[in-house]
Amino acid sequence: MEEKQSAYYWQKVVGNTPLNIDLKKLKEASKESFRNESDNYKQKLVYNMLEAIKNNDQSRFFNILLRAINKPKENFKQLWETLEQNYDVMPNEAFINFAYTIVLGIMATYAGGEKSEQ
Amino acid sequence: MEKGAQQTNKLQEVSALQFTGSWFIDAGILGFINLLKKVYGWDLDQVRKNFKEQFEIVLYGYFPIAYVHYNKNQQNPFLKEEERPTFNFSTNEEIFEDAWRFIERRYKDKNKNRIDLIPSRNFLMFKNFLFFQPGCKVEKQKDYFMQILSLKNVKEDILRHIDKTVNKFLPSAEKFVNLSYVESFITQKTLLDFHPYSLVFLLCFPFAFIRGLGKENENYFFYSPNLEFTYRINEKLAIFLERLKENEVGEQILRITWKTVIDSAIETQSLWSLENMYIIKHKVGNQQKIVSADYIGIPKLQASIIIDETIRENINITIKLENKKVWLLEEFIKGLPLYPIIVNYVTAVLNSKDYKKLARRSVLYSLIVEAKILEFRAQKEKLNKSLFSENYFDNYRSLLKEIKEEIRFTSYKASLIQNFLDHDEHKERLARELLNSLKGEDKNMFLNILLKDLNEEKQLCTNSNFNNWIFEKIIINNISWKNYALILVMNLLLGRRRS
Repeated sequence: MEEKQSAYYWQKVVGNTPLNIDLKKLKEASKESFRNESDNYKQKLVYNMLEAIKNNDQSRFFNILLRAINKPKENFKQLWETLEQNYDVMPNEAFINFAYTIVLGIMATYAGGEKSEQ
Repeated sequence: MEKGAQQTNKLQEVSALQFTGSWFIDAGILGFINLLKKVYGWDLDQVRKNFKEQFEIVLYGYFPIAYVHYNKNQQNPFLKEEERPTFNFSTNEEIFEDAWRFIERRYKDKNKNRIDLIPSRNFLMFKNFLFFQPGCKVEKQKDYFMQILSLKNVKEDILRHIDKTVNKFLPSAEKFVNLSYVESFITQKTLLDFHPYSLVFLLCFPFAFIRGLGKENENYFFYSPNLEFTYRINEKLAIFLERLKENEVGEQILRITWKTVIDSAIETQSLWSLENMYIIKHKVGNQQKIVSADYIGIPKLQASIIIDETIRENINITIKLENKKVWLLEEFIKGLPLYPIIVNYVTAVLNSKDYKKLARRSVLYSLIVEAKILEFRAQKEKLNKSLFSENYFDNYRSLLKEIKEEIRFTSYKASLIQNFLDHDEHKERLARELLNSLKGEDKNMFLNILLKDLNEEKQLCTNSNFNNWIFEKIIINNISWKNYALILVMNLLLGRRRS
């Protein structure tokens, strides 16, 4: 399948290498990482994240996100790696796509939903 | 030898009776055909066949008789078969002599010693023209006819008369954006270069117009550079326009023309002729003038999409907004954006609370078609390819396929939101907030409002069809996200209908 061009909305050149945000990969990482957290915790986390995104507050959003995944014993390795490769200060439009991707990834993991992801 | 061959070529060219590319001469060619149709009952194919097989007889025999007969019998111009003269193949002059004898015998006013031609209705603009002048006696009239038919050398003063009479019908080049070459071609040489019988067609151009419509008593002529297409459209248009009430003509003319054009284009699959089309409007009165020449071309991209019956039928709808009605197909073929209209439409439906009236499929089709065009163009830009690449038509075919697939996917996936939220008031409030964010084109606000409510609905959040659709169509889509977002809002309201 041809990869959608728009998935790499934001691009930045570091040295000679273009740095892309692969949002599909990011969503998968977010989903995998938060799978084992409780629904209540995640709903609250999503709510706080949404508030930060609403105000275009990047530092608040990353503060919430980094605190949430700063748990070495838990399964956040993939997300850390993805973030390390991709994270930088972004223009607002790119930030919105980035942040909602993470939120939607978390929302896909609620245990209360009847259908779970394959 | 060479000269003979050239003449044969010229003759073949003439006898094919084709459009020249100059709308004014072409209106004359159509008028010529219409005149023969009215007097002898020949349709386009018959006129062409007769013109090809015996064009001297048609031109020097049948045409002058038709012209005079029509002038004297405007209410019922059909000339019965048994009343028509027969012509033998002989010289052009002899054919004309036969015709003129017939004309004199039948129509000459002995007291005035002239064929008393009446400059009214279709002939009004020829008031002071040659054989119409009251002082012009029969011999002079015959002489002028022969000049028009190129049986005698054309005297310059003929052209002066023609110039005076018809040049006001030639609009400036600015009005004809795609036909710069219509500008001031009225000289004997240029006229006859266009067509050796341009003078005949100049006499006939009023017959191309559909006469006296609406309060303003204006005359209409649809023009495209293709004779069959123009003939067919004007024929149908005349029927449609006659059915209209007086006060409807002005506002309906473009709509009806488009409807006719689209029907005929689909019938004949002649999409290529859709780009250079005009509606020419003129008014006959003391000051004969062109009222307007509207360019009504349909861009190829839009034309190739509406050729699909399902898509066309779904966009071919008039929707009611708060203070006006909009015909979606018209906006679409004008190349105007549909999204702002649909936002207002969905808002109007929400305000009226009459959700049963929501034209679900039309909204879905309009928005998806538009989204896919936007994506198609963005992709083209990205690949830096010209829109008219070699794969032009293949690209269009694949675009149609993509539209249809997307309609299938999105109509299912977006409909999943219909089961969302239990209370009608809640749904309506959410729909209103989402619509407001869409009006402001605020993606952040839209997603924020949506996801906050969705966060309470775990089942819908984890539905992978729905979750992935939001991700792909709205979050990572910066080109056409609004269209998909609006489809989602519509579905939210449709859910309201069920509860």
